[in-house]
Amino acid sequence: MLRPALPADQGVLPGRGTLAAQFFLVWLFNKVPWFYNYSASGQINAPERTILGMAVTGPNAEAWVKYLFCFAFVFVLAWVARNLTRGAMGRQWMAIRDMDIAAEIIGVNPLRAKLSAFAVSSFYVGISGALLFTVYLGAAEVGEAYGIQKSFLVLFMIIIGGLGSLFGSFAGAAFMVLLPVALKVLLVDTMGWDTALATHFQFVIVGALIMIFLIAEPHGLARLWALAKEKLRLWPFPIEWAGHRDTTGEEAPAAQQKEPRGQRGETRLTEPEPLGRTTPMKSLATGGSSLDTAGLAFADLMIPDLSYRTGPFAAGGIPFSDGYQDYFALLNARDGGIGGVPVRVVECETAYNTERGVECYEATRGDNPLVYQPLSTGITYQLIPRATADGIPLHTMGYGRTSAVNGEVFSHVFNYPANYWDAASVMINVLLDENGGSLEGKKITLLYHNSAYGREPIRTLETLAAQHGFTLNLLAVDSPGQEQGNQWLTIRRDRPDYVLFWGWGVMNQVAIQEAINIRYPLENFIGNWWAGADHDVASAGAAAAGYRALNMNRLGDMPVFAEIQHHVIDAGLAAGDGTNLGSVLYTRGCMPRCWPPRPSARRRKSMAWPTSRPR
Amino acid sequence: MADITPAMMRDGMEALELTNARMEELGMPGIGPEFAVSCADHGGTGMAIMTQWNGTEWVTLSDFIAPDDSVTGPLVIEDSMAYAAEDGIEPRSCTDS
Repeated sequence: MLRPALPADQGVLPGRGTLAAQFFLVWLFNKVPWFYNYSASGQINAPERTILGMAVTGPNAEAWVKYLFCFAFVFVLAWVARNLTRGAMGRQWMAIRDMDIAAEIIGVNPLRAKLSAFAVSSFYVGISGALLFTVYLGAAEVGEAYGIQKSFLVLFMIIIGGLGSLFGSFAGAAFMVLLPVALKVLLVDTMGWDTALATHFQFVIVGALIMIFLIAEPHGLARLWALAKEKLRLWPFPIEWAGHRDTTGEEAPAAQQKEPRGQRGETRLTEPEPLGRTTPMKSLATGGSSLDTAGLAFADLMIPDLSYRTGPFAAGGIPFSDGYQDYFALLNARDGGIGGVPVRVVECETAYNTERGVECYEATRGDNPLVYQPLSTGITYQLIPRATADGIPLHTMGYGRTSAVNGEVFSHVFNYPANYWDAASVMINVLLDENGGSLEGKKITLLYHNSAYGREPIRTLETLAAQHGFTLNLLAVDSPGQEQGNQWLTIRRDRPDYVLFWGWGVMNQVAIQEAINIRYPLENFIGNWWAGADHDVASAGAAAAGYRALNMNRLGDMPVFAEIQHHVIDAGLAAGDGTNLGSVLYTRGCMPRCWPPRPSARRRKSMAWPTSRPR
Repeated sequence: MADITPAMMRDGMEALELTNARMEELGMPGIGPEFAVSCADHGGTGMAIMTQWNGTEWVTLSDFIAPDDSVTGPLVIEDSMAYAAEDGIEPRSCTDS
């Protein structure tokens, strides 16, 4: 949802109202299960739909079909918008915008004008929101796909593009979508900068541009474009236009620049436009900037690394990605690759954001990637249908969609060595062990990140609660998890026997500090394997002693670390700065190397099925 | 060897058998439990260890502990079948030919 960009001293209430609605509706959609179709993860999925026999939504939809579908909407709606603004309603809007008191005096009803502007723009935004979800994303989680960040993005598109201009909306949208792509190509591919640095620079540049545009050129790109056309018409492409011949020499340019009113419709004084049809543009411009090896598809083994070195989850993302990449660098440096074929790791920054994860997938899928490891449950949910349709395996070790262990349904998704429901069960088994085999009457609270990730263990814990007789309380923490004061007040009041914790990134440190603050017995505070790393407890240090966490990999020194130190870090080939070597998450990042590809990859047909495990 | 395709990668992942010997060979002895992957089971054993922060470092408290498959198994079937129904996926049959 957006607020219409009305002048600051008028229409503040609708603006504030929609801003409040932004947060209220997110809360509501999380709270009432009907809104997310009672799914276990809180996500909604767009089913496949066809037009004229061609799929438009779902993973099998082709890009050009999606493009044309959205383009049809853009075309029709732009045409309607153009004509609306030229009609009576548009004139009323312009009158209110320019001076509402004067407009009221001449008989324009301000309430009707503002309401109708609000209604029309909301209609447009609703259409683009629906298209964004069904055609582009495929699956959405409330709060992430349509969070405040999205609203800001659209607002920036309008500001930079130029308020009150139809062309400006398109220009602004193109700019905001192409900017990260351009920066990536320029800074990362050409100049060889770090992807995290390029992402940081994107924020700096966008912020600076907004300030510059608001101060120097409030009418945005549309105005710049109009001026450019003006100047080009004088030189070097002088043309005749109505009423003026270009023989007047130097007078004409000055006069023309001051008064470009003779132009057709590019000036703000004549053409305000409703806002917010930028999403279809977005779906055009994503999806393909890093395919620099099209001709060499089979000369090396391409492994994409969808990492996050920026954002609130970077503390976890960085050591994992370092471990993941350094092991492949070791194989390249020490062994010349796998079976003599070098491994090429392509990193793509997602900032743990689902949409960017999908964009990174789209950008890399054409390069013959062998396996995806997105390290994010949210991104995993999005990639499952896409990767399966493309025939690329997903390795989501200890995260992602737990039920993917069922290989009969999820042919291309692998969760080994463990998953979240196992984690919940192991925690309860440990607690049963400590309590003489019975948890009857105990109170256990689950403190969880309010996302698909955090919601994963709920169903299992509810089943176990019914089975073993303990009371389960659920406390959600909104992403990224820096605000947990209320939740810990509740814990202090309720005094549960145990608190089980499903956090990630910055949420972990904050939770541990809060537990220390309320003097909760830390040995009863148990995190899952994504909440038990060095950086989570480092700042609290000795005060956090006693905190427990699961782990799916063993800790401690391994022979491989010395090799990585020698062949990779000392040789300057490390993905990061080398300080994460041997940490919990770095070790976990190395783990996937235990698994294929290896030369004898075709053993399946001769292998007998293992007999065990009733899953 | 150069032409490993994603399909081969997938098959390899499904045929994986991770033994202690293999882990040691890779320079990561005992990093995880031993397990085997199959067509129907993409999840490994699900075992985890419990660790504890003692103020200066993470200390391992236990060996690999198993989950309760009788609880998680039915939930997996229920959720995956719901996904299959929702997305129109025909579950493949995992009896080897």
